[in-house]
Amino acid sequence: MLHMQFFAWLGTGLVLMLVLLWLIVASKTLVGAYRGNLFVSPCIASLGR
Amino acid sequence: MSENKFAAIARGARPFSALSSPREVIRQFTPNWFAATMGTGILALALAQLPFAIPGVHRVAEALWLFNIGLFVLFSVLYAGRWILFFDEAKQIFDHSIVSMFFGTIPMGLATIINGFIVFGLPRWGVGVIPLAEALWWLDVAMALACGVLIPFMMFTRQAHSIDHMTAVWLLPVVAAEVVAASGGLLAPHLTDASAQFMMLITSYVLWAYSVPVALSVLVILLLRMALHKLPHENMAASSWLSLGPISTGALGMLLMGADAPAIFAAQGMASIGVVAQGLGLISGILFWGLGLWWMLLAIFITLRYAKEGIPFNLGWWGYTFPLGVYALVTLKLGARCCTCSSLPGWALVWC
Repeated sequence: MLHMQFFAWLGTGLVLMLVLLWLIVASKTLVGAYRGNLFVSPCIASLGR
Repeated sequence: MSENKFAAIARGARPFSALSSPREVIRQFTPNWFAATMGTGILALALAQLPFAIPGVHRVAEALWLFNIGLFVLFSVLYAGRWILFFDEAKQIFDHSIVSMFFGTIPMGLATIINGFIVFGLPRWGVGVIPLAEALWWLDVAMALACGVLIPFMMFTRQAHSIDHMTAVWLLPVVAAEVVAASGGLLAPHLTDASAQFMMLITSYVLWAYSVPVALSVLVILLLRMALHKLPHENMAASSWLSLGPISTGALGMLLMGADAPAIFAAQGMASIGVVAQGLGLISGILFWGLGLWWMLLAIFITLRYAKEGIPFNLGWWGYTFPLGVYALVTLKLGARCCTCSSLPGWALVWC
């Protein structure tokens, strides 16, 4: 009985934390994708052009 | 000067201003992007799992799932485009000690979409979605099996690694199989044919074991690496959360595979085994949850330490989302599983 409340509360808290993190990471990704600076492929960086 | 500044701002406002040409989006596309489909997919699934009804949340979760399908298709087209247009550059990935690990994010991103077919697709479109989900799952099995063994093989044969440059990204290729296993546990009871259910469940147990013990042994190396060489470079700060991923997914897999094991085993004349599998699922789910608690607390402390110096943004930040999301899902699953609603006092019934 206690377990259920504990896990349900904690799980809900973790989901809220996830929502916040997702909003932060998604918005930063959107900005980076629009500018283009997130498109970096380190495996061809050393090859030169 | 101010005119230059204005021109710079105007240039900055154009899409892809940091790239020499829009073609670079394809030329520089890496599988890291699929980590965004993992993070978005797990958020949709976690929102749908919340134990109490907030109006509109299910709709938001469903919209996120649909959006995530769009993302996955877009990324697949871009990455396929890179292999077609820039084959010689694209194949360099197999020699790169970090980027190649992210192959694992492709089957894991797809797994969140497959789970969504059960959580959102089934209520919306009916049982017609099940054959599609089943086909996608077997495709996912093939991808997870391949990257789980081929990427480590390449680590051992052609890539340069060292213990001080090792991070939790080593987990990514091997963890994919257990993510697909958890997905199979969710999907299996919805198949119409009893023997197909049984085959999917057994395959899922195999995938779990193909992955979890290997991931746990990578974590042993990670402990030694962090004790000897301290925390990784701040560019890899988010990798401290990756360790929570396989532990939580291991728990979720055992819970999901065990949940419907009694019926699936009983249909094969092995009712007693199915009951054991269910009990094993709950007990090992709780045990892995406890191990996950240790890693999560550690990851929080490590992140706070990095945050003092500032953590530069990169796509690795998506590593913060998926492990936390799976851990949240397991926590909610345990909450729903530990007790039955009838054993609760009246005021707590809102949870049911």
